Amino acid sequence: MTNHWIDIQHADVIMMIGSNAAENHTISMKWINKAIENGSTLICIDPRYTRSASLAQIYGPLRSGTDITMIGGIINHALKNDKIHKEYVINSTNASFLINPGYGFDVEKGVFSGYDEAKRSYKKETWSYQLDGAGNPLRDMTLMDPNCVYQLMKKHYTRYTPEMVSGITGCPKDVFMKIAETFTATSAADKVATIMYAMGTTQHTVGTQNIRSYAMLQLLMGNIGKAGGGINALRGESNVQGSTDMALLYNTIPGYLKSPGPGDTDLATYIKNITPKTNDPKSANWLSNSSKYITSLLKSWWGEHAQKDTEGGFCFNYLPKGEGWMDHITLFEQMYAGQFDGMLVWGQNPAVGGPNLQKESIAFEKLKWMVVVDLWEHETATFWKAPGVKTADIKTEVFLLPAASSMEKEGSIANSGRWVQWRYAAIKPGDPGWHNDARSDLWIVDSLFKAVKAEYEKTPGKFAAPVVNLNWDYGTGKTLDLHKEPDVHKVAREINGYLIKDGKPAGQAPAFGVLKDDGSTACGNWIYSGSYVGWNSKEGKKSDTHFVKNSAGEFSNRLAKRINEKDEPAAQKLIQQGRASGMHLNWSWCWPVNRRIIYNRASVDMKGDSFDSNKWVIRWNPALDSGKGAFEGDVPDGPWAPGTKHPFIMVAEGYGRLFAAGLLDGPLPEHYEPVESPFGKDNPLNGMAFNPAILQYWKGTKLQCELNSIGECALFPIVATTYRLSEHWQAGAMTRNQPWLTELMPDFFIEMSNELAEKIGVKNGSKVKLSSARGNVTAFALVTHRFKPFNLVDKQGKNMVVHQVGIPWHFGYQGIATGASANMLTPHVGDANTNIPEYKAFLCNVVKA
Amino acid sequence: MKTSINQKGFLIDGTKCIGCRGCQVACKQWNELPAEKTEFFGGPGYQNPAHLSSKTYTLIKYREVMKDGKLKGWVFHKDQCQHCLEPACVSACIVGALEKTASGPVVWEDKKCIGCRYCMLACPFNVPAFEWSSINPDIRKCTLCSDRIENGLEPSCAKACPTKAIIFGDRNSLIKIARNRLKSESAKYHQHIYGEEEAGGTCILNISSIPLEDFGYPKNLPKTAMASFTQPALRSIPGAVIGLGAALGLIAFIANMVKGDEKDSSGQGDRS
Amino acid sequence: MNNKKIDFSGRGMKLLLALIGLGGLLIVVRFIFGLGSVSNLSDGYPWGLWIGVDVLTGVALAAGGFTIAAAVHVLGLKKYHSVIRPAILTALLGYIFVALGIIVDLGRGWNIWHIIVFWNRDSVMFEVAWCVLLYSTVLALEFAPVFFEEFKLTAWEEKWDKYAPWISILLVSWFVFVMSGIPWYAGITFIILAACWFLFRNKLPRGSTVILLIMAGIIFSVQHQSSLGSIFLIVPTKLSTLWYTPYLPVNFLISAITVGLAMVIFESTISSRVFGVGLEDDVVKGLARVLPWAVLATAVVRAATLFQATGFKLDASGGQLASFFLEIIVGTVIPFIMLMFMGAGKSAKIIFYASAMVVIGVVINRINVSIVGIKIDGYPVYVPHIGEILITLGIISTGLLAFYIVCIKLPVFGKR
Ligand SMILES: Nc1nc2c(c(=O)[nH]1)N[C@H]1C(S)=C(S)[C@@H](COP(=O)(O)OP(=O)(O)OC[C@H]3O[C@@H](n4cnc5c(=O)[nH]c(N)nc54)[C@H](O)[C@@H]3O)O[C@H]1N2
Ligand SMILES: Nc1nc2c(c(=O)[nH]1)N[C@H]1C(S)=C(S)[C@@H](COP(=O)(O)OP(=O)(O)OC[C@H]3O[C@@H](n4cnc5c(=O)[nH]c(N)nc54)[C@H](O)[C@@H]3O)O[C@H]1N2
Ligand code: SF4
Ligand code: SF4
Ligand code: SF4
Ligand code: SF4
Ligand code: SF4
Ligand SMILES: [Mo]
Repeated sequence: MTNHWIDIQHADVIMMIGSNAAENHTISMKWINKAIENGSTLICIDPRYTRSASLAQIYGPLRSGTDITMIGGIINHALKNDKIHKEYVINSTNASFLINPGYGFDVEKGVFSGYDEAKRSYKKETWSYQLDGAGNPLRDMTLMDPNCVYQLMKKHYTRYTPEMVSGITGCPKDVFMKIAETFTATSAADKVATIMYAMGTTQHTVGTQNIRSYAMLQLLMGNIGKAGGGINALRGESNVQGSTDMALLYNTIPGYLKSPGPGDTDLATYIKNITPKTNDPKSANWLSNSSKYITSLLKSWWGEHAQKDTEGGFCFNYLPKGEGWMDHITLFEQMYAGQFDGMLVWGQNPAVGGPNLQKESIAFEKLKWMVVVDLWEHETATFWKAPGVKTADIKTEVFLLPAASSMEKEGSIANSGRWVQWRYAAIKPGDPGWHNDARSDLWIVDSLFKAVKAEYEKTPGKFAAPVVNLNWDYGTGKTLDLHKEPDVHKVAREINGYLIKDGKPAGQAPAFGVLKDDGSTACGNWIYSGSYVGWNSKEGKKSDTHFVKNSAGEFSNRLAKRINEKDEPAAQKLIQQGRASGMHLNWSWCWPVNRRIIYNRASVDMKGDSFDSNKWVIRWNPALDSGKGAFEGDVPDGPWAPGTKHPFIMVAEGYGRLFAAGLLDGPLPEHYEPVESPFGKDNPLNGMAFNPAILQYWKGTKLQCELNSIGECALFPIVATTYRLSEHWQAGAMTRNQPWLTELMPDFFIEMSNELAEKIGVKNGSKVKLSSARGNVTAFALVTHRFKPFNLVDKQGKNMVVHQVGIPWHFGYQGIATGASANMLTPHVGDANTNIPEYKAFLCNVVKA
Repeated sequence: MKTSINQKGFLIDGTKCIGCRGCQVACKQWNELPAEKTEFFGGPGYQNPAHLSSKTYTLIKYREVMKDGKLKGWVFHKDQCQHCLEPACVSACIVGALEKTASGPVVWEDKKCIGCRYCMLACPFNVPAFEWSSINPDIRKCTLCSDRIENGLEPSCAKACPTKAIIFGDRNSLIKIARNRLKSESAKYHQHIYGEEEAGGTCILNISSIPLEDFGYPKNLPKTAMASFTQPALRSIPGAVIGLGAALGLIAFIANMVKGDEKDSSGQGDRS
Repeated sequence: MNNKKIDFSGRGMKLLLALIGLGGLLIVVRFIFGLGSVSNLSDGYPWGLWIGVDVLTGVALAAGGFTIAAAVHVLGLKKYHSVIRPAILTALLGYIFVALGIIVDLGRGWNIWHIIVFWNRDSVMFEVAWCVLLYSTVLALEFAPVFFEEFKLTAWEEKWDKYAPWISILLVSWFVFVMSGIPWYAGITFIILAACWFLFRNKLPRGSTVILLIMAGIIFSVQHQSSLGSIFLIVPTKLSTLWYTPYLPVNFLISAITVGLAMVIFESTISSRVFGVGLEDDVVKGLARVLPWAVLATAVVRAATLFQATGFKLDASGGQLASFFLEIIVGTVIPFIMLMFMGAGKSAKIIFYASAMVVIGVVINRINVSIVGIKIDGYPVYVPHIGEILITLGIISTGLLAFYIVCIKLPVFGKR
């Protein structure tokens, strides 16, 4: 989230699209309710009428997989009717930037310039700015140049007429117009809209472009950086924000630094490759500091071994240099092809949550061993005894390690709003009377590492150095100790980073500003620098209480701060002067540098005055800093005086990117149908059926084609989507083992319209059989008015009625509440940029069981 | 029973409720109630179980609202004991096992109950529930978490509600809040505070976008306490007994004595 | 009844014993596994067959006791004296088995004594309970002489003569106190009844003993027969307007009197066959002459109150309407026609069948009020479980058996 949950209350318009926050992020509704009480409008755009929609003033139905069309239509409406925040668009976005005249979009073919059909990828040369002599982008402040981003967008989106939007999405035209008008009304300087999105947006072959389209719309409205604005990804698992910050995904290392690849032959090369460049002195280009962050990270990992010229520089070559995709689908394709010996399944249950379970459950069988670390013996841990499986044929050895739950562990957790909060253990896993077998994940990692290291020390093998040299001391000694839990504060302090003097730690880093690329600082994750600042050896002992302050009177562990702004006179004074409430600057800590609303420099004009004086985020106060002037309010995106630096400090040019070359599948979002589309191959908007830059795991090697068929719309005419319910959690182990929740939702069911039910002759509560090209499942039918067939118009202009069904994906065969898994139906098909599975739009057929 | 000023209660605002059922689970958790065995759904929408019971003190009901054949909304309602100001159940209970406490909650006393279930019949909202498979069955229902209230906590369901659809407080101030909401967002609400007057008034006040009757609440529920229907009959009894005694004496006197000392025709003259 | 031997060999008797055994077994099951194990009662329909039939109907059918007693002793219609004892026995046994039904039905029957200790004057049920309790005492006193006679307990008879009137007076006064909580109300009651005692002392056969007992019995009966109707006053939104009226207690009382008369005819006709005692023709004929007017009166009051409650705007389901018409046709229209126009004056058969229909009509009425008339949204409509039916049959059979035994063993039908 650019903003945070509490901030939603400040929005004039809330557009919930691709999210069902009422069911999946219930607490957000408290703030939405508050906003509605104050007169805000909630727009909910979802294929089905959800519990979120029940609170919405405007509900816009749309067929799964058509968000770009919907948003494209709104963008078209805004551009056509001049419903944009002009001042913002010119000063804070790249709308005025001139683009390479070679750039273009070929509507007939449905591809952007530079497409290489053989490689199914783009050469991006033409997706670039025209530069002036100094190497800075050329601009046309009048926005009239046909090659400026603004004009290119205008041209691109003219095809997205209300009729087209309605024909593709199925959203009635009048509803669409109402949405467009309501949303674009926030182009007024003092009106603001927020966009809340989640998996309804991302789990598509165009998932990343979906998000791009939301972000662009918000830039046009001038809604980013403001209170009540922003583009808010509602994160999923409770600490998924923290996990991504810490590089859960294969393409980053901590702090969102890019994972090194084969081309990064040494540290210097890597730094060159990852550091964006600009010649514009007014661009802060924050990532020009990347060298400091990577060096400090290496220092933190390999300590004294990491010297300036060891192993490619600070042991850089200890890092793996992976090549190609290593996402979930790819890993399972490789596993299916027998390329893995073993797998650690750590706090997840892919036997329910993974796409195309037909294929993935066979992939498990190819493993020699599997270690499951979980609270429950879930479907993955028991894949070898799943119904219909021949246990005797499976050779995989499965180990189940009982993990301690979140209530049993102290540590930090990062929420969607980037607030990193310290929590305490309610009870320890080793406490008497408690189940003593479970251990914290940290204990398991610590022990596992020590054991691995011991093995390497015994028989060094090929490349032992990264392991044996790793800086590893979390207070449990050198050998395995069953009863000693690692010190989580030591971990937190390492993440924050520290200064090094004479090869020894010399105090905590106060913020990432002090990090250096000469080996004099270490930092586990630069964006968390400043979170745990006040430690010295003496304080360490009492640091478990959050009120411990360091010698400078600061909190040692800022994550543990719990001061409500209601109790802060200074904050209250600013709120009286119009600062948005609910920022809670002294409640926990927020990365980066405790900034609650990122890109907040965009919320002020060139003079430093907020566009909205009633709920401002930051504003320039010339009286501060002994008359030199400073921003007050939130922590600004850099201290520089207004007008002296461009607002978007994380990109090289310093401007919000309406046109962006970063993605693999186009600089502007364009509508492509899902791989399985009711239109078949005929995309009404352009000549390309589905995203031309995605991986095709249903083509290529024989193994890839196996069990991953793509369905024809003639055989599978019904659109299907999968989603969550308030009452269950994810792959279900945590809730389907819980009697109270099982009581609420005991059985696997699917939702469908009365019209479809009538057509196939079923009633509410009947059993139905769903099939896709991959597999089939049986479920109860919940027949409801909340689903309605879509009236679409195909490429030839013919009207067609398309049905959609909804499938909760939480079920499996373990636990109390059992049922078929929706993922028996889903394909190994993913987004062009991330390969996140297209869980949200595929085709199926439904018949009476 | 006098309505005390500081009776506590809930304002349940259906327009803020998202049907998440956090309240339903929180209630089970605090009251240590077991789960019920359910299949598919026990009512419209996601409703489960089918009704309140000895294991379920509160329940979210779901209604799809249609207008001209089109879906107009999906509305949720939290069903539970309404903690009537003058409860039918309390007046009905033969041994006074149900009690209206001064602070609002209507609670049941294990010691006294004889299990006659008249309270269940009497309650216009079908709230009290019985343990049908117990040897020593209890009457069970929402207690307004009186045990929590007594210790300065708000009831479990209200605490759990993420949207503030349930607010706990003094009945009088809740009525004010409800009136304000009906006025300031008038289009959103069905203009009625259910519980302000129903059955003589209840501690639970409900506002919603649709009439509560659409959730199965009784139609034409009188504004007077349910007990007002039995009280006249009951109150007349002592007088009736006295009158009847005198009348019978008089008639017997006239019939047996004034008419003359008629001989016992059966000749039995015995004691019957 | 000279041999005083009970014959257990007849087919009817075997059936009775079988039903009693089965019922007893199911009652054991009920007390081990809870009410749910043998009934279809639910949180929506907490009351079923046992309340509707065993209790409500049982009490109504026992109304013969006070009706005849009133006729004989208060109105001085001495010719009906011969049916008094059987009527009172019916009533007494009726109440004992009502109590049995209640114990089976109560969730915690062992706490039944709580009604004596924990008072809730606001509860109709509380009033009914006290009434029934006190009336049963009175009934026992009324029936006691039969024992004394049989077992020649002369000393007891004397004591009975002496104390029974005062016990009656005290019971009624106590009841007034229980219901009002006001001592001087009880005082007034005491004074009025004591005055009656004084008035009738030495004037009537057996002095004022019998008359005071009978008066107490009538008072309690009138109260609780009507209060059984009051019980349902608290469910105006649940009970269909076909039956709900603020005058439910009046309806209940008057129909109880009617069914009391019918029951006496019905039961003495059967007894006369079973026990071979000659029925005095003019007793039955006399009752049969009154019965149609009682039926008519019941119907008129019912119609008036129905109209008063609804203005004939009915709120009822199809099933309820059907059951309503069944009740009216079986219980009112047909017997009225039979008694008035079909030569009831001559035919004992017609009288018997007509009174049987009146009885059935009231049974249906009580079932209608307590079961059919009540509809609760969201619960499957209550249909009695076979267990409930068998237990009810068992209880009724026990009642019949007891009646049979008592009639054989004790001089119920006059002195021998
Ligand atoms: N109770 C509960 N809460 C959860 C979770 C849970 O399992 N249970 N999971 C957590 C996790 S990990 C995550 S990632 C989040 C996910 O949170 P959400 O993204 O809100 O979850 P979903 O229900 O998968 O999808 C949201 C909505 O997208 C809609 N949708 C489907 N296709 C499309 C489309 O093409 N366009 C648009 N606009 N909408 C579409 C679906 O109908 C659905 O209502 O929830 C988190 N919160
Ligand atoms: N069809 C379809 N499939 C989907 C999705 C969809 O929308 N549609 N959504 C996808 C998304 S967004 C996600 S995030 C994934 C989620 O998929 P998973 O991550 O596989 O699902 P979870 O059930 O959350 O698995 C978490 C496991 O961690 C365990 N656990 C809980 N706490 C701890 C702990 O402290 N330590 C350890 N070691 N274990 C713990 C739980 O018991 C649980 O088994 O599913 C994906 N799958
Ligand atoms: S962390 Fe827990 S209490 Fe807080 S909002 Fe999320 S679910 Fe609610
Ligand atoms: S709702 Fe029913 S149970 Fe609750 S207090 Fe009122 S009458 Fe009693
Ligand atoms: S069941 Fe218990 S609480 Fe209910 S009325 Fe009877 S005695 Fe009172
Ligand atoms: S007040 Fe307490 S007992 Fe009543 S519904 Fe809420 S949590 Fe349950
Ligand atoms: S917890 Fe609140 S929002 Fe959720 S169902 Fe209950 S009342 Fe509604
Ligand atoms: Mo997720």
